[in-house]
Amino acid sequence: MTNNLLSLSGVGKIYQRAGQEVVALHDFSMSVDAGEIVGLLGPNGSGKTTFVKLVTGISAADQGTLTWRGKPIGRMRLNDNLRQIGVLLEGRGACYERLSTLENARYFCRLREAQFDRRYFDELAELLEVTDVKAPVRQLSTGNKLRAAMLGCLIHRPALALLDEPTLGLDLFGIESLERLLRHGARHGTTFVVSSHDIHFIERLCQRIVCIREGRKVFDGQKTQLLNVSHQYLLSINTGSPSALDRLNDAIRSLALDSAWQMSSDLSGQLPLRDHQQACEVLAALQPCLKEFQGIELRKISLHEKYRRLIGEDKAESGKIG
Amino acid sequence: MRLFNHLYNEISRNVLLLRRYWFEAVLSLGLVLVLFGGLIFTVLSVGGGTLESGSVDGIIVGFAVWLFATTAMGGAMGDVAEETEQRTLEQICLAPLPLGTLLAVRALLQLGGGLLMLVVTLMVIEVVTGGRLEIPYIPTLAAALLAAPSLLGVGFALAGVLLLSKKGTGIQVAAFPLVLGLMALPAYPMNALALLPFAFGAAAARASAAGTALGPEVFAVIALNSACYLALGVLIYRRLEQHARKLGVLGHF
Repeated sequence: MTNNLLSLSGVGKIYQRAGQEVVALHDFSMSVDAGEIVGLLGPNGSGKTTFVKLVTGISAADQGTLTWRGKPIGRMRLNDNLRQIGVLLEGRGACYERLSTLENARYFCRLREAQFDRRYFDELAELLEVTDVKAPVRQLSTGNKLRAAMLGCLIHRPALALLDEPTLGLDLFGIESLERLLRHGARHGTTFVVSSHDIHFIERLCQRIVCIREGRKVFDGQKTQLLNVSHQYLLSINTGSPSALDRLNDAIRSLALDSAWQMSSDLSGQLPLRDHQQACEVLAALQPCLKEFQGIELRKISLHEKYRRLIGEDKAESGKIG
Repeated sequence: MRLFNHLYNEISRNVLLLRRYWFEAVLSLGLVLVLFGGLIFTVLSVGGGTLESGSVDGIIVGFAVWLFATTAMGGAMGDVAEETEQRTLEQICLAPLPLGTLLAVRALLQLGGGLLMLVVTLMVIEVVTGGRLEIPYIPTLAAALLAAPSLLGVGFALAGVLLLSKKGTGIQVAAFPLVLGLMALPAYPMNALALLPFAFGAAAARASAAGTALGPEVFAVIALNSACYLALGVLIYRRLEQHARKLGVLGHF
């Protein structure tokens, strides 16, 4: 039995907007294996939501093939794939405002032809810290509405959960409880594809990252791979005076580094460093002039910065910016 | 079995909503009855007749059939409009049961409710008219019920249009006078107007309520009309749903 749940090959989608063609996805290929938590990153309009819509059949692909457990989607008997998929779309999920969280979960569970399990519902509600499951959803706060919607998406124990912007409207504690819920789901065999602009959330949760820009996949690999694209650390220095800046430049030149000092203002700037060893070498070389500097910070480069660089570099390469 | 489970799920949802918002349900029913009473009162005041004279019998029976007809037509169309407004349309599209089938299950449920309402209304009419208006229930209900699928078909076609246009309120507002117009047409005995959806069935139901005996050929024509419009409506709906999926506008509001 194959471990592959979902596969997209050469998928394309073009929307017509005000008489103009908008490429939402272009020659997009990706596969998701059981047990993965995949983070889908991309700027607004990059094609993340279109990806979810195509997988679920809400929108039809113009080209390419989509398969679920090796079988083409669309030719499935009784829409079998939809029984095994849970979807939160653009921060909205399975939720009628006039029904309570419990009633919504029961309704959508049965709609997906699954047996409603009250104990499982209570377990999910506890993980998400939903206390009032009997109040109509319309009486709940934005964050609690999202929690109710999330329960409706996961109550039928889907094999794959596609969560598009699951942190929208959640506070810090809500995001933490969502993280717990997703980890719990993954431990119990649910595969997640999470698309979010909250990169820190993605960074904490996902081992695999897929980046999309303007409908094209620009990165697909392990998070560690993305974080190690070129440099792991960033040294930021505020020299405080022109003389200190000169001494800094002299010290950097003497090291013959593979990266360049990047000025962010007249007297301060940043230096990307390859690894821990290089960071130690640079600090040692700068030691004589450290006292002259007004500020210094050495930190590990986050996914946020890597992602921005990846998207930015690609834009520059394709000549669409700058 | 699968469809029965879905039917049960829909009944449960409706019962929950009715139980929680019972006041709204009673209020809307009361409003319809008050409007109807007002209409009868106005007609009698202007015409100078009385309820006993039988001058408004046609309106009374027509009202009962109209209530049923609007339920039939509003089924799929009203659902799509409501789900779009609540932004839950995409979620019900994500079920293994195709959207069209789910809408049909819901429409049948509403039709059942409408039929119950029709029976109750006709019984109330008998009481109000002191038994003077003796309605032959079986042929009258059979004519109305057989004609209802034609309006279901129209409702499905309009539901398809709503998937694309999203101008739910406008189409719904326009649909009510359309039903009223179809019902008021003198399509019985059979003439060219009988080609229109529901017109012949409604006219035959009214004639039956007034004491005319309907032959089997009348029911056959009503059934044929219904089958044609239902098939056409479902076909149009399916084409428009496919088109909405292609355009990617299914969940747009």
